[in-house]
Amino acid sequence: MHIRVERGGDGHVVTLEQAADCSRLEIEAVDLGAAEVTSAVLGAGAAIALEGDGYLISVPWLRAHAGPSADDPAWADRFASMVEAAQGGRYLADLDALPVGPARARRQRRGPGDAAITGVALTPFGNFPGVTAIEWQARAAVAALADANRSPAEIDGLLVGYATTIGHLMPANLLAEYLGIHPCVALGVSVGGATGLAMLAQAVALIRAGSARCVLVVAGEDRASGQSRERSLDILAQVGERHYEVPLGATIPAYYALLASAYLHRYGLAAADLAPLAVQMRANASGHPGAQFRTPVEVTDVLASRPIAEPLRLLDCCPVSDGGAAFVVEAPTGPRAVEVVGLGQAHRHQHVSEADEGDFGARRSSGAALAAASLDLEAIDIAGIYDSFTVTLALLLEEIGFVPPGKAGAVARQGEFGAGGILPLNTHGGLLSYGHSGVAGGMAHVVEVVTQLRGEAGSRQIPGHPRRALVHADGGVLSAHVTAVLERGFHES
Amino acid sequence: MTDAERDVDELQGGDWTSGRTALRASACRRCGHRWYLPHRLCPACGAHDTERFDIDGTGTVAAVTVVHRRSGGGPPIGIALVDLTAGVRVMARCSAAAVVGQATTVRIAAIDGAAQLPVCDETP
Repeated sequence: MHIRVERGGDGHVVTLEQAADCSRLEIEAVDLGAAEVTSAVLGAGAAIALEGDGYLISVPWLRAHAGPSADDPAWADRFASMVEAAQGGRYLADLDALPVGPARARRQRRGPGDAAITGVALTPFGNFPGVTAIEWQARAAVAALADANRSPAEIDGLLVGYATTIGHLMPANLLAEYLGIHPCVALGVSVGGATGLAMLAQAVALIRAGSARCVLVVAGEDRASGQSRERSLDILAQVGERHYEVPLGATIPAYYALLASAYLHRYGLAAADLAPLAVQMRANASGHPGAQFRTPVEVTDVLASRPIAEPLRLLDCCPVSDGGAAFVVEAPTGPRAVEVVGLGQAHRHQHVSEADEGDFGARRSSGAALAAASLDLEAIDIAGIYDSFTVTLALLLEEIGFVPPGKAGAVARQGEFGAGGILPLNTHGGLLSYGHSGVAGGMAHVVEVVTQLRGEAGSRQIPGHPRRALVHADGGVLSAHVTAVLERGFHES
Repeated sequence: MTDAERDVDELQGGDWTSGRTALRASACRRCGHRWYLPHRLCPACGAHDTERFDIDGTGTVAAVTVVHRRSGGGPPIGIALVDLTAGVRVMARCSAAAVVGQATTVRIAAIDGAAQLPVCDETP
C-alpha cells in the first residue's frame, strides 16, 4: 500500500494506492516536514486504540489492525515513528514483520474469491408523488455506481428486487434497458422483505464463482404515492394463504399481530413492552435527513396511537414509503470496501399456521453467517435488523441471540440500541421510522451499516470505529431469513 | 384447470372453502406431521404418502388479534390462531374478547353476511 502526502488546495492531499504487495506500507511525503505529515496522516478523526488482542489504528482513509500484545505499545509507537520518518522521503514498513492478529489471519484464509460492497446509495424515503418506481431504482443505481467509482458499462451483473407498483415479470431486464446497460447476468428476485439481503448473497456468489466481476443490486418503488393504501394492504396480505387466511380478513399487520399476541403471552408482557423499540427507532431516525419520520416519540405516544391490529398500534408498524436503494458488489478494492465475510439463510415455512415459533429460522440463518465468518455475536459492533413491526424486531433480536428471550423491549428501554448503547441498531431509523419502500426498505439497513463501518455517518456516526456488522432480514411472516456479516478492513487489490 | 389447480381443488374438496361445514387436515404417513393447509406433500419432510380427513374443531386459542385497519373498511374483527386437539393450527374469526389460552371450538359459520368461515364458538 502506498500513501502519498503533499500540499494542495487549502490543506494536504493524501493519496492512497493499492500495491500488488499488500504486506508493505509505504508513506511518501512530498516537500513536507514531519509535523505536517503527522498532522495530515494522523489528521482529524484519527485514533490509535487498544482493541481486543491488538491495536486498532484508525484514520478516515486508512485502518490497520495488528497485535497481539495488549500491553505492548510498540506498534503504536512504530506507526508514529513511521510517519515522522517519512519526512522528506520514503519510509517502508514491513507489515509481515508485525504480529498478525486474528482478523488478518482469517482474511488470508479466504483467498481470492472474496467479495465486498464497494458502493452504496439510499434515497430519502417518504411520500413523493411524481417519481416512478423505475426512476427510484435508477436514481439509487446511479448514486451507488458513483459511490463505487464505477461506470455503468462496468456492470456485468444486475440483480433487481420486485416492485409492487410495477408488477413486471422481468424487473432486472426492465431496469437494464432504462439504465442503458447490458449485463451478462440479470435476475429479478422476490423473497419479500428478505429480497435485498438475498440479492446481496447472490451477488457475492456470482463474484466468488467468477460469473461476474461487478454486480449492481437495486430496488425501489413508489409504494406510497404510486398506488392506494388499500392496494398496498391487499398486495401485502397475499403472503398469507389465499383460501384459508386472506378471506378471513387477515392483513400483514394481522399476521404479525398474531405473532405479537403469542409473544406477549409467552413472556407475560404487555404492548407497552414492545413500544420502546419504536421509540428508539424514531430517536435514531431523528439524525438522518432522509428518514420519513424524524419527530421523537415516547412510549405513551406509541400506546396512544390508533390500533391497527391489536396488540399492534400505528407506531408499532412501519409506514408505506416511496424510495430506492442500491449497492455494488465486487472483489474487495480500496479502503472504503466493506467485505461480506459471512452469509446465511433459512426458509422453513411460508404461512403463519405452519411456523415453528421456537425456530422461525433467524437463529439458523445468523448462525450460519457467523460460522462462515468465524465470528460470534460478541464481535458484532453494529446491527441492522428487519423491523417491519416492533414485534418483528423483538423476535429477530431474541432468536438471533442478541438479547435474552422476552427482553428486547426492556433492553431498548435502557437505550442500548442507540448510537452509544451496547448494540447500535438500525441507526438510520429502520423500517419503523426511516420508512419502508419494499425491497429497498430492507436494503437501507445494509446501506446504513456500510456507511457506519466506513466512518462516514457524520452526526450519526457511532463511537469506537465499528468494524463488524450483522444485517438480518425476514420476508413474509418470518418466513424467509437471510443474514450477512460485514467487516471493514485492510483490503487487498 | 391446470394439474396444480386440480390437485388443490381435490384437496380442498370437502372442507369449508368448497361449501361444506367441515374442517379438514392432512397427516404424513412417513413422519407423522399434521397440517391444515391443502398441501399434497408433507411440509415437514416432503413425503408424498399423505392423507386428508375431517377433524374436530376443539382446541385452545394460541394467538389473537383485533383487526381495526381492514381491507375495504368495516368494523373491527377478531382473528385467532387455534391449536386444535387434532394437532393442527387453524386461523379462525373470533370475538374481540378472546384471549390466549382459552378453550374454544372452531365451527364453520356464515359471518358478516358473506361466505362461510371458521369461527371460534364464542364469536358473537
